[in-house]
Amino acid sequence: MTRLLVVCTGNVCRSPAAERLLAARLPAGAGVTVASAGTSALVGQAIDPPVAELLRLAGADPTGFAARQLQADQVRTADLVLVMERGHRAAVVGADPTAVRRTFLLAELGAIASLVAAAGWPADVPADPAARLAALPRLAGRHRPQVLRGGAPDVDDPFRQSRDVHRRTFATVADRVDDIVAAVTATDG
Amino acid sequence: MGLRSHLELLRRHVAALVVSLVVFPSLALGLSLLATPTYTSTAELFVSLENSTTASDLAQGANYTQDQMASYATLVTTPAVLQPVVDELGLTESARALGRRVTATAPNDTVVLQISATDPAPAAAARIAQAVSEQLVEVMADVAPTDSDGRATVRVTQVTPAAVPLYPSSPNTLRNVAVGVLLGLAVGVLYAVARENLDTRVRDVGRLESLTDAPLLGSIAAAPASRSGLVPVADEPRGTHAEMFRQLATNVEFLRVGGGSTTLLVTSALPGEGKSTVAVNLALALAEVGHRVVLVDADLRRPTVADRLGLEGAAGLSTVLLGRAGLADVQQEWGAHGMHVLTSGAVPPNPVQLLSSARMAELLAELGAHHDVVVIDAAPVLPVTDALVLSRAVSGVVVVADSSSVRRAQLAETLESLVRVDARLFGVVLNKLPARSQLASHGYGYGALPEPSRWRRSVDRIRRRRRRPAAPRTPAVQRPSVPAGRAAEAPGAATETVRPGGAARLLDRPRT
Repeated sequence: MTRLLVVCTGNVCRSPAAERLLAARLPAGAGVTVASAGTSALVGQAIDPPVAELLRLAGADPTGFAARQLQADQVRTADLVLVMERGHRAAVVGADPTAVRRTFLLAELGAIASLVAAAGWPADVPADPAARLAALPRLAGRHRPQVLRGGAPDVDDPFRQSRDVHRRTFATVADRVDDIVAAVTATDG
Repeated sequence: MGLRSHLELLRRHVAALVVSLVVFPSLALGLSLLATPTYTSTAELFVSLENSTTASDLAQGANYTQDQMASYATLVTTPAVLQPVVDELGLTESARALGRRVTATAPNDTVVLQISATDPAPAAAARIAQAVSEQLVEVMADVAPTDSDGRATVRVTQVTPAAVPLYPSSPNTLRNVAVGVLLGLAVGVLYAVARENLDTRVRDVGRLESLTDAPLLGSIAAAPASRSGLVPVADEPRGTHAEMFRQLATNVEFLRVGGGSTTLLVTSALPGEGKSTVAVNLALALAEVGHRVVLVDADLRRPTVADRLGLEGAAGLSTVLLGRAGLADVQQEWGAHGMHVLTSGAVPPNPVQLLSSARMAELLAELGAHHDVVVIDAAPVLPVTDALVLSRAVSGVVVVADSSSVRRAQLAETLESLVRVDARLFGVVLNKLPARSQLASHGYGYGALPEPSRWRRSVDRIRRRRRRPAAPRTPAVQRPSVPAGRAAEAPGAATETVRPGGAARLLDRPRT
């Protein structure tokens, strides 16, 4: 079982979107669990309505959600932590320094996963999404220079912004999620 | 300062010197050409005493005449002489005005009176000089004392008539241009000296050498602003910038005396001199050639390594020193060659305390056990003591000097501070050199290092050791440092001629 943790600020917009999209798009029974939390979570709140609507349109389930505050033990038990901004990454690593090698910006992990898949998954990594996701921290280092050159941008907070901003942010999150899912489910030719 | 450094000084300001040498003579030439030419004509008169019959009379007469010569010369410009000339020649000016164009001189100890007149027209000059001298002869006859018989005692004879001059007497173009050249030279040299004394920055290899005996480990050109965020060795591995860092790495490889790991402390006098850039690229270049390298950001005041490499800096050195994580947990990997990076970790309130702790020494030992080279980016020396504290726990110190900003006195103070704490100074990296100077330095830079230092002796040691195996290693020659295309055209020895590599050149120098 590979555990993913998605982190943003309020845990009502970006991280729930990524969480529910990953859950919806990773193959069923892949052995991956996805959770999310916020560095300043609006604890107990449901997914922000504009995001919930976009999730529904994208074929993901926005129901049954309650925002949670980021806890050190969530970080400790996660195999991979995905954050939206550099500030979140610092917060995650501040909660548990040993998570530094497992914590990635969403855009960064999308790019790294694509590069790893393009270079061909190493033979010692089983060809299933859970094992591949778990192997990414170990494989990321060698691709970092390319990711740096492309720039791994933060995904900005759309909370209380216009519907347009929400749509754009959601599209960005969905694209990066697709990158990751495509990379870990790729069949080596 | 020897002759060489004087020439060096002029070479550095050769542009100013050339400008000055062009401007002043041109100015002199231009003014000479614009000036109205004037002509001077001279007549000569011989003055002697009459009625001298004996030799002693003659001798006395000559003395008398000599004493009077100044009076005769003055007489020439009086209206008594000039008014008749004005009338005779029908000049429109007054006698006084004419006096300004007429001069009379008696060369010392002679009885010859030279009468010169100047005029824009050569013929007029001759006419005036002639008329004045004739008039003087008449006036002298009137004013000279007479003897008892009423005869004039002084006789004036014209010996040289005034001739029409062929060339103008003014302006003297040749002399003016010559003065212009001298003036230009003087101004140029003064400018160079003034600039040199007012500019207290390091600027170039020559001035670094006059400052310290420490070897020059590398020369890095200034990066254009558009590339400031890049890591040249990783981002533009074929670029000239990357090649400069590889050259530095090659020189650093020669410092690795013995089989154990080497711990390099990279620091500078002041913030912003590029020590982190040098540390990052040096570490990468060393990893590239197969060394196991770890880069440690020990600048706990203003850490930049994490941001530069796109890594998270919140967990790292300080985290390990505070016991919040193990080294293996927070050491990150970067790049195709498996370079390890230990970022700064959260900035602590007491960096010196942390860096001088026993835990730090243990950590360095642990890093050394798993790596061939440990590259440590430390805070600058002048503002804080962090680097000095660390310098005692490392194999050696590399000081990065921004040639365009650090003052020579500041760099000297930095090097002295390191010597005072018994740090081993590996050498200096001259950073942000202008591209032009970078090229120029190839001619004399590495070859002109000061005479054998501790480093030189270790290089000799390495050379002796490397000679024993079959193939001695001369990386600077093997690695073409010109763009691939040009290197292909001029392989082998030609490559070495194009750019004498630091280490290779040092090895080539005769042993003393």
